Amino acid sequence: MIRMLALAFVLLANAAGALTIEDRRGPQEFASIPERIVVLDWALAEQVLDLGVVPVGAPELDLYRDWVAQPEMPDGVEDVGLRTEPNLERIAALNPDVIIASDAPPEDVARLERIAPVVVFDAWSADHDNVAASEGIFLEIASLTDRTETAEAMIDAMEGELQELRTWLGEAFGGSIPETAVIRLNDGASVWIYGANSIPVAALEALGIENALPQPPSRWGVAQKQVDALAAVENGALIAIRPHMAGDALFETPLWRFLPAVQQGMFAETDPVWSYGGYMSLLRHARAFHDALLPLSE
Amino acid sequence: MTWTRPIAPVALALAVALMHLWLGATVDAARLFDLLTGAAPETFDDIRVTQSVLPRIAMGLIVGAALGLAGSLFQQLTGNRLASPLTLGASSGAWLAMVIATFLAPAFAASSREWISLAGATGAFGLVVAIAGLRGLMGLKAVLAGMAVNLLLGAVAGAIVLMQSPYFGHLFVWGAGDLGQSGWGATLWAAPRLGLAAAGAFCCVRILTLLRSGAGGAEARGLALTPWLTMIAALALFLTAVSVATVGMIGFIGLLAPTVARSCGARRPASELAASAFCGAALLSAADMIAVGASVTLRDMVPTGAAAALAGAPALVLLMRRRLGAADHAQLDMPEGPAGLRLRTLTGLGLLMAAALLLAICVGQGDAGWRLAWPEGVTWSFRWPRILGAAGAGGAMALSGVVLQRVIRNPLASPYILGMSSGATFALVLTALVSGTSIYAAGAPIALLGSGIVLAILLLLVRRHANAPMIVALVGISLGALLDALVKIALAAGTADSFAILGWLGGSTYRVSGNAALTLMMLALVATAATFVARRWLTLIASGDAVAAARGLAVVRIRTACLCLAASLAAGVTAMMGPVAFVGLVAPHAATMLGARTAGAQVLSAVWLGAALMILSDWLGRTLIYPMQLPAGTIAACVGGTYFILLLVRQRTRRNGRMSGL
Repeated sequence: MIRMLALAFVLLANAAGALTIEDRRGPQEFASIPERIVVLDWALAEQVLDLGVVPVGAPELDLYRDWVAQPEMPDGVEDVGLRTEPNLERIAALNPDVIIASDAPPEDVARLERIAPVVVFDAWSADHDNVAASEGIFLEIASLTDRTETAEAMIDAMEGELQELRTWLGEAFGGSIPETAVIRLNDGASVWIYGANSIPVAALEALGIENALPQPPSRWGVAQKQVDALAAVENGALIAIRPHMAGDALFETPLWRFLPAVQQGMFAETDPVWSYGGYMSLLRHARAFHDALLPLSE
Repeated sequence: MTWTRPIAPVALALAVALMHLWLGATVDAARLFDLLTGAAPETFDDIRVTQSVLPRIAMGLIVGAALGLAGSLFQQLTGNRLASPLTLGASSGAWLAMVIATFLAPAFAASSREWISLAGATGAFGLVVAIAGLRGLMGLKAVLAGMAVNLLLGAVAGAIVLMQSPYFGHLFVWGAGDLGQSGWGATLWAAPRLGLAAAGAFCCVRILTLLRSGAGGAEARGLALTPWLTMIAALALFLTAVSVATVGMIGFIGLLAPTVARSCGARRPASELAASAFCGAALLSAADMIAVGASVTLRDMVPTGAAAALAGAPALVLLMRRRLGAADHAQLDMPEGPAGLRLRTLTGLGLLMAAALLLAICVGQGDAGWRLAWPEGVTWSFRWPRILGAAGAGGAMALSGVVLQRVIRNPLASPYILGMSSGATFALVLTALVSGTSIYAAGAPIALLGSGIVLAILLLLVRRHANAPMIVALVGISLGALLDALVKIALAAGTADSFAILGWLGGSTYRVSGNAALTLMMLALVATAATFVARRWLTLIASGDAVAAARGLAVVRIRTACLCLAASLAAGVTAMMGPVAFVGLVAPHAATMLGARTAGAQVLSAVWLGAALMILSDWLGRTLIYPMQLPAGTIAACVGGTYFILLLVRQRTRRNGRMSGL
């Protein structure tokens, strides 16, 4: 009798879901580990790829390869269309086990649920810490894909590497790393400056570097300013994330050449890293900044 | 002639420039003098003044002058005080050309921008002339045609930017128009080009003087006018093109400057040109001062163009209200076409709808390419709300257009001119900004509230003029422009939210739920039925106040009711799927040209056509660049716009043929 009860209990437990994860609506249960995953945003694509899971569908793949670049998007992933309007019929044709979305309005989620179970997160908001949120999302996706141990190991490794990068940079700069501002070029006269609630600034903090141009927190953690705002970096470094697009016109202008950071040879560029990415992009930013700043220490 | 008054603009421009310098300069006057007389810069503040502040002020002055001059040339050329680079479509043409060139050939776009920009400006202006007709350039027609062209070109540019999103982040600031400089390069590039064009403009003063006495008088003196007029238009377009290529889209200056110039007492063509140039310089510099000041306090910088519109639009509203047009007694001048609906046409309309429905329901793209199949299960549940929503929106906008064209008594009026769409968009963007969430989270009630507030303001502003059609149109346009400028400030930030706003501006059925689609369809059907029943009012209100009153119509009250109906329909559609205004212009027009000339026939066939056009556009948007999607509103603007232009051109050539045959 006891044995039968135990068996029934196990069966019930299985039926109630082998797997429970938490999204913005509360606990979501899955009977088995989903194999075919569709992600609806580049940050989510980063999150699953970092965990070693290849999604069956992701949005705007051509642009992803230019702007996000890392982690590489494998061939064979299907393009599901625009990030703002993912193609529902295309997603349905991919027959996914789960659709992972972020910041989607409830109506969108309800429609996606007609195709497959949906996991939806609050990723970008002025009201929370975007980086902490992306760590939470990383861990939830890890437990959804049965990679919790991998994820925890990756986070540990990231913390270790961040510590290393920080030490190396500290040594290179003889103990005090100069304060640094991270920008993206816009056109010949304006730039985007990363501020509170952004991944680049979180990466600076992780490296023990002071942000030279603090900006108030916002949804995307970025502010658009005239170039002369960069003159406020008087004794620090300036890092611009590529690609520059029309922004490289700025390099030819006198105003740019006379910026204190540029005059002192404290300007560096990095390879493309997506500043609105997943949790591991914190490490990618930190590596990129480390690589960019290191030559400036000489 | 009095000397002192035309001096006022010069003094004004000088004073504003000096004040701008005083506010912007980070060094004292003595140091500034040293720097200007050749002292080597030592600190960054020195460089900021010589390489950023001064070129920015200079740019403001020369571009402001160029826009003022272009506005004055357009106004003297057409005899229309509402003509300007913005209202005649030239600015948005130049802008679209630059967007396309940047997209296709970035290097070419950078090296020959003035010519690309000029080609775009000329094309758009040509379009406005084709729509309004040369005669139409003198009146409200030109402005309405310009609005329509702006809408069409803006939709195309928006769609391109949307498809290539991260690459075009920088175009947002430029789209809003900004004077920021990092050296003298751009200023020195623009100055000689604008200078030459300005010199050319002053060479045409004699022709402008002759034009004042009327084209007939000029020709009587043995002057071949056409080459001269073409030359003047080309100069105005070139001034516009170089301005847009250098600093982006800055509206209102070209419209306001000549008006201010005239109120300063500039009367003769030469003094009007000169005074407009100085007024333009002063106005743009003043707007730029506001932009610089606001940029210091706000998180994101404020583009100059947005500040110019912010200051310019209210001024425009005031000016418009003062100018109560004599054209208000005019009656609706319907586009030409057969006298009645023929059986052939009715069959065509039926087939069109059948084809649209068949394509929309059964034809789609999948992994294996195109396929024709009855959609099942989930696919059907995604498709029907979009198709029904598109049909409802098309019908409602078409009805709104019919009512509005009859109330405004102009076949070129579209629901867009009432500012409903702009009101809804602004409300959504503002909510998103304040709450720090996506604009999709705000939803339909907020959009409706925005439209409602704009309608209330509009009715309040025009009440004193008994809702005179011309005043309604002009105040609506100004209000819309003001709100669009505010939206542009939000767009200019160039973040992911900007693309969400842009997507919304395209008018997409993507987020239309089944319930919303049903509501929209019911709204369209009920409103169509009600309008059909009340068709006599529509006939009377379009035939002039005197006629309508003589037949016992409470003109003002009926007009208010009609305006409210047109506005509510537009607001309802905008709330559910974003602005889809072009249908409201094309469908009523096309219906008339097909022979639906009585109010009742026009109502029914326009609604039918509008629904078919939107169903077709939505289908194209879903399938054309699968798996990407284009907003139905944008496609409708492109498809409808092309059809519209073809109709007009055909009509014009036919009419010309008939005239030459006489």
